[in-house]
Amino acid sequence: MGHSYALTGNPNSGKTTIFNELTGSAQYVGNWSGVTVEKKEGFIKNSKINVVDLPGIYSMSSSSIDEVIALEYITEENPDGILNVVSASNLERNLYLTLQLMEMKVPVLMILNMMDELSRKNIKLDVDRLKEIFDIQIILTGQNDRKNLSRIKEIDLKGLKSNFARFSYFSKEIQDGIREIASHISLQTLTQYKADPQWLALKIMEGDNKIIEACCAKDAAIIEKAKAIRLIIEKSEGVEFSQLLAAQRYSYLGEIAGQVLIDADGNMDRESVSEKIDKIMTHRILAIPIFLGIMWTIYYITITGLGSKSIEVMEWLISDLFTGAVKALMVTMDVSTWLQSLVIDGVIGGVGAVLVFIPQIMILFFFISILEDSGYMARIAFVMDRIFKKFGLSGKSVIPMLVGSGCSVPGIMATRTLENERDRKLTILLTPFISCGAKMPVYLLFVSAFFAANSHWVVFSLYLLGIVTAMVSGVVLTKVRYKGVESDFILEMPPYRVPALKSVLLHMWDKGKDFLIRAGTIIFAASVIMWFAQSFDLSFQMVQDPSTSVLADFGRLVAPVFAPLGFGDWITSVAFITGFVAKEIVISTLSVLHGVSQGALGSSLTEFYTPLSAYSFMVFVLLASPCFAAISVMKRELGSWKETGFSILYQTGTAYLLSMAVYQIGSLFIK
Amino acid sequence: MGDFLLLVPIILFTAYIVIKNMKNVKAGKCSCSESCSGCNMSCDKK
Repeated sequence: MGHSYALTGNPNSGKTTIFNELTGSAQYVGNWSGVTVEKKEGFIKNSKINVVDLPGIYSMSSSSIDEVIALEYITEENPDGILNVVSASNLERNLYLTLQLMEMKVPVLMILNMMDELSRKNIKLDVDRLKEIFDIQIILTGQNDRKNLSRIKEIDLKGLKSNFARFSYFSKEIQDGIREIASHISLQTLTQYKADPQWLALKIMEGDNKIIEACCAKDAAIIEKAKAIRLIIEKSEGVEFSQLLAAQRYSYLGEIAGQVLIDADGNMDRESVSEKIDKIMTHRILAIPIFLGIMWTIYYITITGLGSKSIEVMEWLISDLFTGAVKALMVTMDVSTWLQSLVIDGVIGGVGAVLVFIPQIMILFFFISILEDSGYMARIAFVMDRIFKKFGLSGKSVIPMLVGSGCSVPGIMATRTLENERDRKLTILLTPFISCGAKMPVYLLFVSAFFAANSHWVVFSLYLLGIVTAMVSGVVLTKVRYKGVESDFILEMPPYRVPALKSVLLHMWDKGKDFLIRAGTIIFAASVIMWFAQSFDLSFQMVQDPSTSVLADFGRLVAPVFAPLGFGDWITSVAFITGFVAKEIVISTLSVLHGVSQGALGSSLTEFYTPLSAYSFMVFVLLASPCFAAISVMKRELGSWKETGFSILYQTGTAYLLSMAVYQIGSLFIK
Repeated sequence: MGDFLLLVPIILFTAYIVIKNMKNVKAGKCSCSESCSGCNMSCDKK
């Protein structure tokens, strides 16, 4: 029978890297907080030990969803032991969680990570003393040294006891209160809710509603008694109970840090390299121009530089080489002409139109993951926080939006780190405004056809438009729908690191693979359906001219709605609607309905659009409601169709108005 | 014969993808793909 361990630690303590190392998984790792917002599990390599990677948390309270997930798992699933990842480079704060785990009286094994960062600062850590204080086993590991991790398999955590003097750092009144409440917790409660009575007493005294609901909501007497003790202590100390607990814990941890950290050269107080770099990167005036400059350069290399060459190669591979070979094979097999059209114009045309852009998407995510792994993404969050606050948004909203620039689905999921429900709902609504990876092929197709000389500028402008729309919407919605005060944002600044090539390539490959799988599944299916719909009329007769098909009839019904936006033709209308399934399908639909190969699609589009209507089209794609996958996650996270419906309407309405403004106002100046 | 060999797998595969994605969306899972790095957060084991 194997064991089950929970992996916990502060955000950005290296927890996910250790999880990957232990289990051989390839979960995404970032040098910034909030990468893990759900629990993930896997088996330690060559063992029967199951490890559950819990979200990164700073404390065992239940103030945000990620903390609730971690707390519920430990209290309800009762794992055999806790693997607590502690970052040696930020010991005091990381030990705050360790202290709370020790208070729960669960078996803990400490994985002291980032030892190499401490060595670089020439600070020594007395590990033996730390072991002695907590009376637990400690495994040392660093960014480039993971060999000690294999020792975890040799240690049986189940039933492991520690003689750590928990609660000794609290004042006498608090300790007495804990004992008093613990003695009143019934045996029935402890049988149902398998937790240590003294820890449970502390949580009841704190007034942790999640825990009270789960363990003893019906026991009104004990809740009242705990509340009375809490109020007496608060009155005598003049501070809130939770703040008092935190202050006393931190005071104790300060003493521990003083005992175990040996800083002979006084490096701890000396300005680190990261701090020196931050003086420029997060400078009050320079930070934003630097951020915009970095993003512009990334778009330039991706679209105009390296990327433009890759399109030519991909078009040759798909249009000439692959299509030619398939066509020859079908002729040999004596396949009917209409079926040849289905394969060439439908399947290869639709799927190929997206595949052409895969190298560019991979180049883009190569640079994005360098930003993430280096620690710069956390600085962007810090810089944007200052601006977001001015627009009534919480700085915490920045993280989901940055995650959403890859894909809206994890961006929406990342809102789980927001404690404030008002901030969370608002961020879920605004995150899809940020340009995601799936919209990129649409931009790439249109900019190469209409704005070849300034393509990177145009895509960059769309990226900025997404951010500005999210911010302005924040102002509007906080005034009319999501009233209230935004919560404070405490952001951890990870040290700058040279990105690990393996991690960067893994992220890049993941994105490329994702597009390949989408092309081979959902885009394939959509292309086939589109081909059939444009090949038959209402009486199921095959048509030679797609404009007489059932799809064209449907498109013409919807087309007048889009006419004020500059594209009232049936093909564009259908492409928009199919874009709700997945944004890339806009391209495959256009390719199938225009009946041209990947190479000729751009020039075919120039007959239907002007540069102005092309830009208006991209604005609509950028801002309109996200794909079905993101909508279903929005519904799950918002918990109501009413809220989800409002979000979809708001996003699509904003897209429509802005797109119309671009076209109508632009038409006054550009003929 | 060539037509049959080609058409049947295309139709079956398309139907499979459509049904699978509709089920995923209904269940609140992401429908892009199980391997999608971003979507891992919502597709992974609970």
